[in-house]
Amino acid sequence: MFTYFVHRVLIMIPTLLVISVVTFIIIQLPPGDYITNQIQELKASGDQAALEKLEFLRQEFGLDRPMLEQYAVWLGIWPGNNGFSGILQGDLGWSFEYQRPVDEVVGNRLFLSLVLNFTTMLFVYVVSFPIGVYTAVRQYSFGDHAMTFVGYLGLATPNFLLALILMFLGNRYFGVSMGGLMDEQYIGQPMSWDQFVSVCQHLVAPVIVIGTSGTAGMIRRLRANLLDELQKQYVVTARAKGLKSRKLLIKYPLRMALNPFIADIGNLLPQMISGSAIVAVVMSLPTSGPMLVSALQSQDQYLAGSFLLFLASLTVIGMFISDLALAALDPRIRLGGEASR
Amino acid sequence: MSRHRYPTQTLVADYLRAGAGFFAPVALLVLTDLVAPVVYVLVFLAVLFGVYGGRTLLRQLTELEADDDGIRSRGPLGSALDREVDWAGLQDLRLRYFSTRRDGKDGWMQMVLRGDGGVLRIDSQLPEFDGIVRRAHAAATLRELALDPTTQTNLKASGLVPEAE
Repeated sequence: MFTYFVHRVLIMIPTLLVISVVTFIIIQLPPGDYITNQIQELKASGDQAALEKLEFLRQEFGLDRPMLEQYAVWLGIWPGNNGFSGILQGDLGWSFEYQRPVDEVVGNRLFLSLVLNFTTMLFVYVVSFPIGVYTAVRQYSFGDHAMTFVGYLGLATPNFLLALILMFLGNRYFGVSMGGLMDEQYIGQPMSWDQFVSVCQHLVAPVIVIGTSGTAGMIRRLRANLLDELQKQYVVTARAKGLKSRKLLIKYPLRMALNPFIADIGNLLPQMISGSAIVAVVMSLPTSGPMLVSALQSQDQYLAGSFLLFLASLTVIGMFISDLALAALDPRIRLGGEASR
Repeated sequence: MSRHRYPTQTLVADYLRAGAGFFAPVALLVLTDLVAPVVYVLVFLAVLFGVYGGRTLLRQLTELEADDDGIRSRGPLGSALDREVDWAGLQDLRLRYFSTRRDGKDGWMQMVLRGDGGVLRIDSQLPEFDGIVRRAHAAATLRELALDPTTQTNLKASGLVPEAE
């Protein structure tokens, strides 16, 4: 397992590097940059002072340098105008749109995104595990049919629609606003206990909205896999020998059925992150999604790059955890196919 | 009695991994100023790959002896790391398969033997690995040890025991 861990870490590092390169190339792909676009507009209005300031910014941030050099400076492995000052040094760059350092603009959005997505994952697993096991063990019971119906609804309903419905119902019948991730008085304030409590209260609705489809999918996968395992010969043999149902279930079939459940950690994370961007717009959540969309539209490259790198890193780390858990749980030879999902 | 060593050419890739994983973070730590969390991560990586390199060296210098009584490892650090498992005292046999590829190919196997003399781990890089696994499996069968489903699947899938068994 130690060897596997080392090999997997060694794969993860170049993967992150390649992702950072691809991220940088993608945000550079459209012709020109933020400064060029601004210069065009200022030339039209004839604002000479602003033009000089933008030219200064272009040189200051090395936008006139080759792309490879810009990338190396951005990452912090090549000295720029201020020496080594990149992501590795904790300097995320300058937001041209907001005219402030990226870390100031981002504030606690990345942290709130992390909290939201982590809580959603927790919700997905905590809710889907018992329901998945119950529906498999009590196949064709009333509970199984009811949960399957709810599962279909969850899979078929787009997240943003569910968000709108919840917001409408909350406002109409309970008189509460479900938008945002905290009460208004805490926005822009440093984290405090009261703010934390407010965030927890506001998390309920977005977690349900973002997590519903994932939960429904997980329930169906766990149910199908557990049903497959329960019909295998070794389970019949164990039952015939008089092993108690609960002990038998936990000992082998459940462990085997858990593989796809665990393998999905890596898939679930990017799905939730991309899905939560639209929900964040609908529900006015101060997470990274809406700001990332705006940064990409305005070619605010350092802001967009920081977000994309953070989200991609989360995905890679999710895949890493999922692979480690899978290798520890079930290190079997899988002939002719991908790890079972 | 048969003696086995991990051949140097099979360990070259491990040395290269250890070298790359150790020197790249150390170079970054030495050559640039870094923010504290990045320093912690890089130090962790340097230590991890340093340990991995040390373990690879130990593995190269260790000899395995197998005979009708059991299997023993004899390394440069003497009794501190030497292990011995008698076939007659075999308590557990596990066969694991690991692959970092998505399709599960090009992986390696690891056999874990547990006995009174400790736990012995043997990787499939070792020449005659299949023969040692068959011997261990025969001992486990004789002692009527219950093998876990993963080990049974791996034994059958790798052709080390017949499918019908």
